[in-house]
Amino acid sequence: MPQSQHLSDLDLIEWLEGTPSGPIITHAYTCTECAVLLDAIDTRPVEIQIPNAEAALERAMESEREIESEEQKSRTESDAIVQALRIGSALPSNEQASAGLVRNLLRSAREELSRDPALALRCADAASRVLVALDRARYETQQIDVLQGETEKERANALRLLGRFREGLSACDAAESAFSRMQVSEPWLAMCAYVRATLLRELDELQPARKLTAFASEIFERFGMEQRVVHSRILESTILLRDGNALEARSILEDLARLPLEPLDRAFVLNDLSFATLQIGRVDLALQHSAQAAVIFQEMGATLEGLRSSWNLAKALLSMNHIKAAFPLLDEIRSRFAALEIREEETLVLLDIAEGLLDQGYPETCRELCQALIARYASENPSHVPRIVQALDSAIRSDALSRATVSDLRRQLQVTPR
Amino acid sequence: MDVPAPEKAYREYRDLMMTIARRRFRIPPDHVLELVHDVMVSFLRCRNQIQNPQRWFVGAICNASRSWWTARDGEPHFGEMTDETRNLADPVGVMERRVAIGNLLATLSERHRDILDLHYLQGYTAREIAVRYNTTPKYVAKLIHQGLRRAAESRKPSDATIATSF
Repeated sequence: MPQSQHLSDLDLIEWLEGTPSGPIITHAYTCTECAVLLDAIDTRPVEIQIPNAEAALERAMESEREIESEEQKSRTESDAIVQALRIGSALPSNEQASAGLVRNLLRSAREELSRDPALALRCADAASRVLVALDRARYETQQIDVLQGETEKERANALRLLGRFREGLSACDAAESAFSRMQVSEPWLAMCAYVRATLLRELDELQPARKLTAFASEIFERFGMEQRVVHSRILESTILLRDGNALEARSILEDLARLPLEPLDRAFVLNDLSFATLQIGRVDLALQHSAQAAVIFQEMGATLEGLRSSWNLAKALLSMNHIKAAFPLLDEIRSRFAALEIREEETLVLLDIAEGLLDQGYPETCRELCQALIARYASENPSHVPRIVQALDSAIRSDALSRATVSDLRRQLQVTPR
Repeated sequence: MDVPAPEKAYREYRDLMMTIARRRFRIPPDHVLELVHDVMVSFLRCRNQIQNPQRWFVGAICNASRSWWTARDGEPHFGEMTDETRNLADPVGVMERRVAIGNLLATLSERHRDILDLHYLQGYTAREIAVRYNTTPKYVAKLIHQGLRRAAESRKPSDATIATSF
């Protein structure tokens, strides 16, 4: 603690938690102002008399209860809006603007985020429109600010997943502006900093992204939001990985892996650890961490998340020419997508295998894989997936298969609506 | 650490929040309640994300108090540094301070003297002293603080001293 300053928030917390360092105790002695504060804290209850102190809780609880009740009442209406947004039909016209409806729409945006980010964005936009129509006199200013900030934050999250990073940054600006108006703004601003860091990471602006994660992490720690600290640290490690600093990333992830984490957080840590260890050439450890992560993902019912993370690892192995480890893993992932009857992903994995086999000079093996798939698809309704597999097969037969063909087929598969 | 229900959290942390707002940030009594209310609104909204409520309430009331002053273009912190604090920034004064502390220790009870001696003159941390005395670091910290206060009180010139200095 710099001697020229008074006790910081964190010093105060250390004092309350009974772990003050020497300089804090010294300062407590040498600074009358701080000594008075610490005395008052130590001899609680204090003599400060504030009439009707309970009124603060009552007012806060009352306004929260009102919004919660609106949330219950507007659930059906919110579901109808989300359904209309999902199928692209006209929105119900009789919507009653309420803070509860905004909260419901934001909840839907969060739920849809990983499944369908475009729908999540439409939900957040709908929340934004309801917010504009809100009778503000009915609510506390602070509650409006939270809703505005959260709406823009959800928009930023969805825009990131849709690859619209610059727009995401503008949404972050708007969210920060709303949160800044609040008396208790720091935890909300830290959440914005986290989202902004994820956007900057995608834009390869790695240094500012890292600074923002450190900022967010410091605030989350000060506010006792431990799980958020873990998330910020995981994000920091992914930024470092992207920056080619696998050693530092591994160190952060290993520290995190020692903590008692929520199962899904542990799975993400192990997953990132597999990439970090791979980058420093420990293929065995990478596979081990990845397998551990996959088990947790499966146990938690996040099978797809697990499969996608193993798939990323397999692709990394392939790009680093670890063929012996990559092919069995890719084949296993392909079989698991097949078992789940997710044709697009199964075919995309097949294209990865095809590309790898071509690089290694095994077009025949690639053709056998395609034939097996075509035989299976023959009994199903025609769709774009078998057509692409057939295109791959005919390219092999005519000896015209190249990396460019594979890339083109992959692109076709990815742009076709599911 | 479990996050208590709002009513329990309020009862548990209200005095702490009011103390910090009043003593640390000098928020006028009429406005303390308004800040506690703002903290509660935020708590109700994000309580699911809080793992350590004490940290959250301390952080939130500090944040709210600073915002309160900022909105009024005021000074959110304490006033000027005291002479004593300023002296601490001076490394030359460190030895003198040690000597002064040694003299002050002589005026204290044995328990306070031992603990302050270990901490200031021998460099043990509160945690290390706690292990030695088979107690908690918090209790040691309190003893240190108490001992220092008593030492400080013993340095204050009494009325008699002031009278004779004229």
